[in-house]
Amino acid sequence: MKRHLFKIAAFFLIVVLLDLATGMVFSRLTGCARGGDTARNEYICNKTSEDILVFGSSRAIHHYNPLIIADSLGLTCYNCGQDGNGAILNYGRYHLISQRYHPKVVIYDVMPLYDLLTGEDNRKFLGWLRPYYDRPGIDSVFAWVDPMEKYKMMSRMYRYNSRFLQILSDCVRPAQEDALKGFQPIEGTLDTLKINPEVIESPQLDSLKISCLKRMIDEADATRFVFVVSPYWYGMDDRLIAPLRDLCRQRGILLLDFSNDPKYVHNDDYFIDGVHLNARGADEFTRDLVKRLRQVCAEVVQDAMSPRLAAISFSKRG
Amino acid sequence: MVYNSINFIVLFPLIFLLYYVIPARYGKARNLFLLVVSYLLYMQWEPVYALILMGVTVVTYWAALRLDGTRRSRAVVTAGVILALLPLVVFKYFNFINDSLSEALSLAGLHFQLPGLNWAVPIGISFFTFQALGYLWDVYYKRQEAERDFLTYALFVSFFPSILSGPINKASLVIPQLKSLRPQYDRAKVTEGLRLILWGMFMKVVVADRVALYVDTVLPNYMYYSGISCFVASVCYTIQIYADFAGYSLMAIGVGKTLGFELTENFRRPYFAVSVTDFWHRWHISLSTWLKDYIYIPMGGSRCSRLRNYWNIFVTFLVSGVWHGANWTFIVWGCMHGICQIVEKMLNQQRCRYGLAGKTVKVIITFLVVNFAWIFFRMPTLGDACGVIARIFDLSLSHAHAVFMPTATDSALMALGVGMLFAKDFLDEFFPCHCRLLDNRRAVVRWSAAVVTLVLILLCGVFSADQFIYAKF
Repeated sequence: MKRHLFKIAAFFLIVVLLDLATGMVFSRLTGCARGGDTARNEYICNKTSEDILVFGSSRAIHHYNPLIIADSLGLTCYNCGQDGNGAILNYGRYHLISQRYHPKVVIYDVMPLYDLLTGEDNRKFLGWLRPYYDRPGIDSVFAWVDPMEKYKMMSRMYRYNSRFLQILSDCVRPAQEDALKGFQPIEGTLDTLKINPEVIESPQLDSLKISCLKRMIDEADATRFVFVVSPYWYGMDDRLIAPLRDLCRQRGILLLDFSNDPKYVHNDDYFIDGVHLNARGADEFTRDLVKRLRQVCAEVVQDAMSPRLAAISFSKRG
Repeated sequence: MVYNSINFIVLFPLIFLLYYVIPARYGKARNLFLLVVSYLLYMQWEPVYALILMGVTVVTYWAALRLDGTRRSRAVVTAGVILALLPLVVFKYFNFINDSLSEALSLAGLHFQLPGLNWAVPIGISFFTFQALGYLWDVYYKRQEAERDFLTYALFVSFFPSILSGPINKASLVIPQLKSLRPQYDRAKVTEGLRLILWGMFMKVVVADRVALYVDTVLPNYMYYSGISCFVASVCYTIQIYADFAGYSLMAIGVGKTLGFELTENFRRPYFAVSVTDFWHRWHISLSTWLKDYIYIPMGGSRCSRLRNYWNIFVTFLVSGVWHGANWTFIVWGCMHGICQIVEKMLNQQRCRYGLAGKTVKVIITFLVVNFAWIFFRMPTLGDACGVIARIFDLSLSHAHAVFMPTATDSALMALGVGMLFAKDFLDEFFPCHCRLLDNRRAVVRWSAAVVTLVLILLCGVFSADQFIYAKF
């Protein structure tokens, strides 16, 4: 029996060693990725230095054109949106970024299902953060979502779970270039079949998502947050963002709501489906947004030139 | 116990070591330890429902003992069956019966409905109830001696590897193992058990939960996707339910083996079946054996007139449908399987006598028929199931462009998992003595295969899905 147990232990020792080695290789490969989502994630977490960052879900990645924002406001901009993700991933990413520098403005595109309400299993929002689990503060995000995650994260290989093929392909043959600063416009016209309004029958607030938003705001020493609800083809029930309105009111944060803007609602020219603008709609929306943002950005530039004044204005917002 | 959870990974080595710390000569102490562990694990989910498990155990134990030497054995077995079935009927079927009756009455202009029950169904209730009923009937038909040792019997009903989703073990298989002095440590069994756990885990997290990502995107929103996407999703579900349930069964059997027990085989490469009849000899074998032994044969089986035989087959699969859940979709699913087998019997198509090409065609046809029936099994209502089928057969091409394409990475991982599963099943089916990897004679090959499987589980597995499909039955 002892001999057999020793053999079983030896088997697991081999797996542990392989796990460590594979983890190291993928960690190195992640840093070397030349394009695609791997390089984009690495850039967002470790290399951004832009004045303005856009956060959010697929609606952020497809709706905000950083080139228009940069040209119009005279500040550099990068789009950090991520398909199918919300407050949990964005808090983690902001936490990583704020360890390096504080962007001047964060434009946060809100999608209630990903940022405020209960929905899918929250563990799915941790995927892009797994490679950075060892960085300060990130383990807490995992613990909030599921205390058991810390055991899974003991495996170095698991940190690259489901992404290893992507990492390899992004190293060998990167698919996308990042000339648009993280923005990924969708070309095409409205597909009427894809207009399926998400009916949330009994919306329930997700305390974890809301606490991530609050923490992000609390940690933003020198960053000004602007929450934005970009347009929906079918508009949006205003009650879904009521908690966000309260939060913004309490913290003195600007909330720009385009969800029921008549210019966009039921306007087939600007959409690809019920929730995503096409490239034309995205450029138009970004221009509209910029008009509203000029005031904020003027204050930011002024604050940057007068640090003392900035301190006063932030303490007032308290 | 949910085998793809951290709980299992932490608790199982502990249970394993503690079990083997007890010397083999103290067989009763080992059984007592397993009984306590089984109940504690069951109570992890909802402690109060352990009373139901205990209730079913006590009722069937008592009824079986009473059957010995009584003249009114029929009355005793009837009382025992009704009492044992009561929790299952109340928890699982009460709402369904209540709703169906009130709908039927409303058609006649009568409006009457009892208040519905809003209770969670005790986990594994269908499995442990059927296992206990099987034992009771075996005693009644004198195939099995009534077990006098309550500890042994209670462990037979609650044995933790199989309580959640089976296999539904026969008393004649498990009770003798519980009563005998098991060897202190059976190295070959432990190795085989670990191998089964490893492959079962691969089937669950690499195959089932990966294809589930496609299924769970398309089928709940079938009205927005093309017929091609709906068909692919239905095929994915066919693969998912096999990999999920067979993976669970392998892990349950594997856990049993590591503790020195042999449990009932539950799957034998069902999608290589040449007919629906053959499919049921390979799919959920423990349930189909149970249905054969306690429904089909007592009704007369095939030793009766043709028409009566067809009726027996139909009723058996109707019960199978009802067992799976309190919903008309399961009943239709069961009836479809029954009707297909009746047709095969009428046409004498239960086996294949057509050579390789004919066999291939029959395997494909059977797969498509089974796949079609799974649509009813998966969808929440008959209307939704018909909606998916209508979409698949919609030839107007009006939705042809609404194809759901998973990401390249997801597609590659899906293809990898399904490809490996297919290759293993294909080799096991047609070349059982060749290309063995996990149980190769050479240690290097065996160990390499096991390491690669574990690495693939860590790199390709989906670990956010908690539950097994059959756990809800």
